Amino acid sequence: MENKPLSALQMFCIVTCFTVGTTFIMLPTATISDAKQFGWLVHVWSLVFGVAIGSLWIYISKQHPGLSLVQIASKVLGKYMGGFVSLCYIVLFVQIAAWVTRNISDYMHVTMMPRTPPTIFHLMALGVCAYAAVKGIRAISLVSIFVMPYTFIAFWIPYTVMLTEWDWRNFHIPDDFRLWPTIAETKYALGFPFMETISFMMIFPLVRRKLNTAFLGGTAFAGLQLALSVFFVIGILGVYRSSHLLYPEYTIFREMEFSNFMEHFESILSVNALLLIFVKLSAVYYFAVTAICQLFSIRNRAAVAYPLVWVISAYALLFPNIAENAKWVRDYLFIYYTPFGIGFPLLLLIMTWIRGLGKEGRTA
Amino acid sequence: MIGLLGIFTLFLAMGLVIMRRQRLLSKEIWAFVTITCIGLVLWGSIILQKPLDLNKAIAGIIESMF
Amino acid sequence: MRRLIFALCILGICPGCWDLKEINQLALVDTIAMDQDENGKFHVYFQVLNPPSIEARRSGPSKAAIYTYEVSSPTIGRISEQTGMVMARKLYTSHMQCYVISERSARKGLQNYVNFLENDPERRTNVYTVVTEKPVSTVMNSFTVLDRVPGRNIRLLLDWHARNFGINKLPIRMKDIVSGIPFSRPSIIPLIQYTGDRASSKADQLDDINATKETLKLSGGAVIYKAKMVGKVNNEIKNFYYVLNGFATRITETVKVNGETVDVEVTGIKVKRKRETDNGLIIQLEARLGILNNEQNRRVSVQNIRELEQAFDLFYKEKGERFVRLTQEKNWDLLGIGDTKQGRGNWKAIQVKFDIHSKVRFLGNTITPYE
Repeated sequence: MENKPLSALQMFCIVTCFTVGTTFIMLPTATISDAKQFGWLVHVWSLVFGVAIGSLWIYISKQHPGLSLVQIASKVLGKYMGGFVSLCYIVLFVQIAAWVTRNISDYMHVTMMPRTPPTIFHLMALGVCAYAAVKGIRAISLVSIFVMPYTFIAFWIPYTVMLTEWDWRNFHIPDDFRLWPTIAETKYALGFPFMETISFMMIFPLVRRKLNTAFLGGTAFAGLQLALSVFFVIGILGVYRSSHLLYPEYTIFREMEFSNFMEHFESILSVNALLLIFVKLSAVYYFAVTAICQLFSIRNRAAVAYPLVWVISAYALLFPNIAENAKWVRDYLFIYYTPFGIGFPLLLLIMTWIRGLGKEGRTA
Repeated sequence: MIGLLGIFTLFLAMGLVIMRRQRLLSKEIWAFVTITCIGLVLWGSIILQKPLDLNKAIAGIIESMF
Repeated sequence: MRRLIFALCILGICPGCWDLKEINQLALVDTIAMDQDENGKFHVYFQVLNPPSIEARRSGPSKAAIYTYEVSSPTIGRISEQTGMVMARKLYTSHMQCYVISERSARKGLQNYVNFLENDPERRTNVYTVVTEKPVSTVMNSFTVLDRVPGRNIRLLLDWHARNFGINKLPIRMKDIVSGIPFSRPSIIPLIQYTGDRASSKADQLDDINATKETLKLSGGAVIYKAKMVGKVNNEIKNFYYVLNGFATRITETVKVNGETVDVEVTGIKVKRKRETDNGLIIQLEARLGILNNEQNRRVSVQNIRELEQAFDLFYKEKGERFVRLTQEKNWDLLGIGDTKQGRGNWKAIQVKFDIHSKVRFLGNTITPYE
């Protein structure tokens, strides 16, 4: 575990990159096809959910100052039970890393490089991210500070150019909107990405000041961007088209025309998207590595990080295609994430209260 | 498969040589070897067309629960 | 040093290697024309640029600027493979200028093409699309003058066409056909005609001074409903469709005032729709008029201008009513009433009224015509 603290700005940027990460290439199609022209609202309420659940995690973390998720678990639940919970989280982090890796290669395969085998993308991405994980969270967060403003500008400025294609007709599609069924149908948007951010509990103790603002602010900022970009997608491409396209936001870039000679502008978006996803992958990779190191009290991160490339690169190949991936996200992701996002944290909180281990308990 | 085993041995040997040089504890070496072996098993299962599919397993468990 | 070697090793796994595209192995496709014959066989024509011949410094039509390859295949997905039989280069479609579709295949339905093009990551659908009545081979095997690349010629023609309506882009791209599928309002795609009797497939025929004898010409539009061509309209209806749906802000019209002809340029068109009753709709149109040609042999006075405005309002009202009757007869919801809350499901029952307000703003160089 590193001891150098992270500033609030570093935390904010890394949370934003993490949340936006793969979400904006994976989710718009799904939410638009489920919630039609209200797809952007899905992201708004998911963001509210994300902030609410984030406050719960922060509360738990504040009860145990200076301890990360794994350490809290073994302190509160004991060596074996806590070890089991930590192991579950490690598996989750590795899984997230593998899915993110898979998203990178799918995206590159579909949009730009159809002939390149996916394993090459996996190894390339994982090699870089393993190195980043060995270097530590400070390095990753500094990269995120560098990347975030740039991607923000490079994404929104061209996007606003496409407003010329805006058509309000797209928002008047006959559809009777019912809130609760829609929430139930799009529940995956609550889990992905807003329950994945539980992994940040690994570095909560590193942020000494303004943790609330940094973490919740980052979540909210990223969520707003997602909602806004989906709103744009609906306005520009329409519900019908965007629910049929794999990467609607990419298509918008592809159809952008500045002039007759500037073509292939979409490659810029692809590279920008990759930058964000790389930050997400490095972060979750780092969390997995630190969790393993803390659980088995290993000092040297490199001894864990590099062999993990084997596991993740294999795991990333498991989905046969992107449709299976999408189905998994739709049907199982929320249920699978619930114990990690809500179940275990509540368990930890209740055990803290019962055993009187919390901040209040210790003073008594 | 042979290629995979070759890469595996190479990786393991290189890792062990480097770790010996840095004089790491045996715990670290064990972690290194174990994780690499898990990776090898996963890769092997994929190459032999019988993947140990954790995603499918989770999906199956959730299906049977609800 | 060790780091440098390491970095160089990393370079070796750069994934660009698989998707490498050598520029002189690319066939730069300018236009694609698609046709499906009676037996269901697809015929696709690729116009491939011949780069040395379009360099700026060459003068005169010395060499063909493009070559057209015809490829046919029973399924559309195998077209790219089939091009490998006649052309030793990789198709590169990022600089596409337009799609040309034969009338018979448009009438059969464009769903196949649309799905194929949207699915292929190397193809774009924000490219102009035109329908042609002549056999596709005639259109594709003809050179055009001034812009010697026909695809570019069509694109510039359509760009200019749109510019004349006061907008930058008309909704006549392949993607507009796609995004129009769920709506009740059909799209209107321009029809293109070849004026000659046979294809002018030799570059030396470009020496003929008569440019309109053998060239491509826009004439009317194809009505596309749910990605299927359902009929043809003339230029008048097509242009009015753009006006009433709020695309065009500028158009030229001819009005009769006291029995004499006045040509006006209508600019600054603003169309608003107001719901009057449950099944009554008012289309309000405000516009500025500029006089282009005035054949009334009398002084232009305030009174006369008022008459012109009234004549225009009446003329447009009647034109609008005729347009509505046409939509009812043909069963095409060209006004898109079925896409609004009011007319959903029963657009034919909605009574449309027109409320036209025009103001003459521009008289031209002469305050009054010579008497």
